[in-house]
Amino acid sequence: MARTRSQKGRIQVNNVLTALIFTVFIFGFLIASLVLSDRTFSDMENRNLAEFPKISGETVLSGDFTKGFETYVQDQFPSRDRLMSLQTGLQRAAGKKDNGMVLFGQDGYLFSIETLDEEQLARNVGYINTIAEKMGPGIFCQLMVVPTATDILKDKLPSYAVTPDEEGALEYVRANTRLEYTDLRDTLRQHASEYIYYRTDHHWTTLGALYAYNAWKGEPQSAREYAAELVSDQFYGTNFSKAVLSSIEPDSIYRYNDPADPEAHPMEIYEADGALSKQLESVYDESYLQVKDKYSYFLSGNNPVTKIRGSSSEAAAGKRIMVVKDSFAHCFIPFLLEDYEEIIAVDLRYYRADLTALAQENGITEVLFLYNVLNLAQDKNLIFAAK
Amino acid sequence: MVFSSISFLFYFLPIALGLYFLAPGKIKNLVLLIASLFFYAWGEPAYVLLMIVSIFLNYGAGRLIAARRNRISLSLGIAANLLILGFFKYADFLTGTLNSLFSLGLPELDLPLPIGISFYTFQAMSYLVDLYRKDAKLQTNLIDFAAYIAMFPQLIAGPIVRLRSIEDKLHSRTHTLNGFARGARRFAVGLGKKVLIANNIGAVWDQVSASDLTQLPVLTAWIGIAAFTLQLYFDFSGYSDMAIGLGKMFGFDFPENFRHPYESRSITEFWRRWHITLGSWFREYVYIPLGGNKKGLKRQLLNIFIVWMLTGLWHGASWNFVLWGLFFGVFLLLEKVWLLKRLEKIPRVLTHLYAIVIVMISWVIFSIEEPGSIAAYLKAMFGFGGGLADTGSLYLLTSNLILFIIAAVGCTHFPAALGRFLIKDRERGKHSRIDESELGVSGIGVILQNLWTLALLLASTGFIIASTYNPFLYFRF
Repeated sequence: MARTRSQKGRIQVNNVLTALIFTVFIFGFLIASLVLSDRTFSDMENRNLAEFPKISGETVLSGDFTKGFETYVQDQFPSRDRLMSLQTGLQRAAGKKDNGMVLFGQDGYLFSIETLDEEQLARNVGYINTIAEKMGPGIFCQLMVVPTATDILKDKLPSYAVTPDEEGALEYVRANTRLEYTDLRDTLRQHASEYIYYRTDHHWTTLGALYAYNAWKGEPQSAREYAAELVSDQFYGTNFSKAVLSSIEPDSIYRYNDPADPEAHPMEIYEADGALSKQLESVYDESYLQVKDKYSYFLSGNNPVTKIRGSSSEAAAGKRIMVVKDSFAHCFIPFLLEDYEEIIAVDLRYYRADLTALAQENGITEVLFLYNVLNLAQDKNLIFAAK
Repeated sequence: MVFSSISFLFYFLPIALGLYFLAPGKIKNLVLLIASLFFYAWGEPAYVLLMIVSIFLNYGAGRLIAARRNRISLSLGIAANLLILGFFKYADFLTGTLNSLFSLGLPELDLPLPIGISFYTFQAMSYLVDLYRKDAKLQTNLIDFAAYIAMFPQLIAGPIVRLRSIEDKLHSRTHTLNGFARGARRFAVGLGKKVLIANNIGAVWDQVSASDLTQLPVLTAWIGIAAFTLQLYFDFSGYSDMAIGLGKMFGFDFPENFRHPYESRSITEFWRRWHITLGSWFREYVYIPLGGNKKGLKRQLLNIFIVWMLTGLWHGASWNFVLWGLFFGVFLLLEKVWLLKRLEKIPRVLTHLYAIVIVMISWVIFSIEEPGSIAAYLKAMFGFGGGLADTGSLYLLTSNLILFIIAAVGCTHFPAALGRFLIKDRERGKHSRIDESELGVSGIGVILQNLWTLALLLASTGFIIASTYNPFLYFRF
């Protein structure tokens, strides 16, 4: 075949092929973009996608229309997630150790690239001291700061990776807090070989939270016999969203049930203004297992104020705890159910009203501040509660 | 609009190409003009009027020069162009400098720079001078002339195309499948250079240049400036490739702008290989009119300084660009009077090293605006910063090693040579050229070349989309 085809003919074939590839490529995506209907929400990116921009003389002249159009066509581009996956794959094939948002660790671990603001951390430790003082002597205030996977799973980081000095930050917190402090560094490090952090998400696992709970109670081992229940083995977390790659294995989410606990623990979620917004039968919100954001299974995600009915046992009688927290607390709080009459979780990002008053209204006897160390160094909301 | 955007690649380009090829021959230039004005207005909705003014102005100036044939009419035309360029590009630079020297408190205009103004005014001026010298014919067809000034492929980042070099094709050109295919291949290569290499290696430079320059270890400093060196080449030559490729699709042959500049063995050679159309513009329209090398050594030295100060200033309205131009001026002078002959006698590898190190140092001046920071960076490169290396430098090196190797090999002539070797028709051996432009191609070559083009397009699209990937994370909460 090729032998009989003249050189000129082969050049012709080559040119036809190239011209076809090029035109089909650019026209193909154009037509697909026009034909496919717009998506309103991206699960992968957990955000609303851009809509077609408003067109008017004003938006065109100011350049807003063209900027909006660019965002719109990018957001609505066909196979957007697959192209993202192609890019991540190519970067990893080229030996890149990060993509600007996450570090590619060993054993499928993805570590979010973060910074640690030491000055803000110092301020926040001070604010927490102030809040504890304002609570008064009748309320037992405690602090627990969680190191992240980047610190505890250092061995799985790519070589020479420069990460924030969580060790130094945690040491600072330990030395400067006036609250009862639980240092989790040794506890979590002892269990570093176990599944205590998600591979594709920035949170700790329920098992990690269980070890922390034991350490907080001062018990080397669980007093209760929990049964681990797998609730999802298809969890692709936040770090996966930053480095979409089809070859990455999903995480599994477990909850820990105490078969000896006969009681129900219904949960009420309140808006910042005190209005009741949602009521659930338990601390777990099954609806989130159907969407990408599966970690919100615990405590139904981020909410201003969450009230949970605890235990009616004698041991729990009169014990009411307020947890001032970030989302690391969400899989921790279920372990408190049998220890307290009532648990109130407060997210200071959404709740700016008087924290001391909230504690008094609810007859709170204990407060636990529970943050991961990077959040504690980042948070700009503690100041409002300290005022 | 930039070439490496979704709106250009998958909206503007298919629609513009479709309309252009559907249009009958007589109105193809009109379609090209409208497409170009739309392309420009997309990014610069207000400044497209400035471009239209510039088109009419130069069209008129051309008629005046052709009618009067005197220096006054030429001077008027050039002055008008320089006035536009000066007002929109250099006004604030001038008032800023005067204010800081004499504390005059002149108000600043704060005008955003019209994209491509340096390129299209230089093209227009070259037409006026060529017309005056009778190197170019008077353009009487306003549509054709406007299409030349506004032509979107080379509008934003060159090459600077002189009208006389495309004059015949501007008025009548043929469109061949061969031209289209070669243009498409060239465009895909350019896109890959920009999106796959320049953008990624540029991220390394961004990271290094954003850190504390006074504490920079030697290794990090060199990694950083090596990254910028490669970024600039792949960005700029990638744009030129895309422009040349698009030109071929529309039936034009634009001049080459880069010929593997980092292979140079002297600065003199570097400037014959880097941004060739700008270098020849300054030679043709500034250096030679000033007398070039024909009025004695002293005058030649002065001319070199003038040309290189202007070359620096052309790159941006800031003193570091002037400094950068003069830096090259000094080395070009040095080579002319003394160094070039010495360089011929020392081992090749040392001459390569000399040229690339000088060029890299020049990019430090080029890329950092503030003189104190330039000094800090240069100090760091030569060991007066923060030690030899730290964990951060080793991380940057190991994480980007393959990218650096690809880029370093990619800026030499090897990839093109390898490509020719892989696709060449072995049955006919070396002499399978059918004409100058067409190399013979083997059966496997057909497959390789097309897969390569498709892979470049697909990977580039992946990286463009990824750069817009914007996961909103219920942050750490």
